[in-house]
Amino acid sequence: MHAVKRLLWWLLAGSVGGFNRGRILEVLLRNPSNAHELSQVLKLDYKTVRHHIEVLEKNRLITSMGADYGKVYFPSDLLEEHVDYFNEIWGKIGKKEIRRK
Amino acid sequence: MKNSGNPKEKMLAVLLILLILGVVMGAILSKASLSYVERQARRQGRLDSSIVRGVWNAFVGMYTLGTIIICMNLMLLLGLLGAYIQSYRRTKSSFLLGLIMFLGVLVAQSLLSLPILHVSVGTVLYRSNIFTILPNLFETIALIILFYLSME
Repeated sequence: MHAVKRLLWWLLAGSVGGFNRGRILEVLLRNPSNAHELSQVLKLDYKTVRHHIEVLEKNRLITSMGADYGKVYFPSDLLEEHVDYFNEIWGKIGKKEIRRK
Repeated sequence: MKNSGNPKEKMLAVLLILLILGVVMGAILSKASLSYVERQARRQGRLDSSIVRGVWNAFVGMYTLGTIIICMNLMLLLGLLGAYIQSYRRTKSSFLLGLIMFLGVLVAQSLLSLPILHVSVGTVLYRSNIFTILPNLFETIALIILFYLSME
């Protein structure tokens, strides 16, 4: 299995907050946003969003620009390069989750 | 579906609860099984000499510690299994099925290494020294790392 594919499987399916991380990546791939905007769009607690952003950033899937509260997050080169893997995995797990809700 | 609270704090709280449950379960299990063995030994007059008494005390210490550590591992494994089964039911991903099988094998391994099993087969088989419990202690550390990564 490709290293990035394995990383995405783990971060999206292998750990508890995976579904919300997938939703965050889905939004950021369409539209770079800051943490506040993400929490509004996804109807998630601000602290939860910050936690997931931290995990995604330290795993190099997203990068940021700016400082403090205005910091805008967008997909990293690594994610852009392997966006097909994200779509493949998210297509398998994300849709099932959304249908369930 | 608004989530409140810091996910890291929640994760640490769950981890602590699982470890405490493991300690309590291990203490009860070892205490109950040891008091039975001790009663039998006393009745047969096997614990009368001071040398045997010393060996018995060392055995009790290691047996209790071993049982507690393995019960902690079991609780961590059950916590992880619960989280993965829940995720599998939501996503039906084969990746998670693999992880569930991996944890299932580890649960079997932990159950088989419980000192109570060794003692019920024959006391001689359970070696009460530090090297018997050290591998289990390392397993606890490994499971805490996996737990941290899984709950992130």
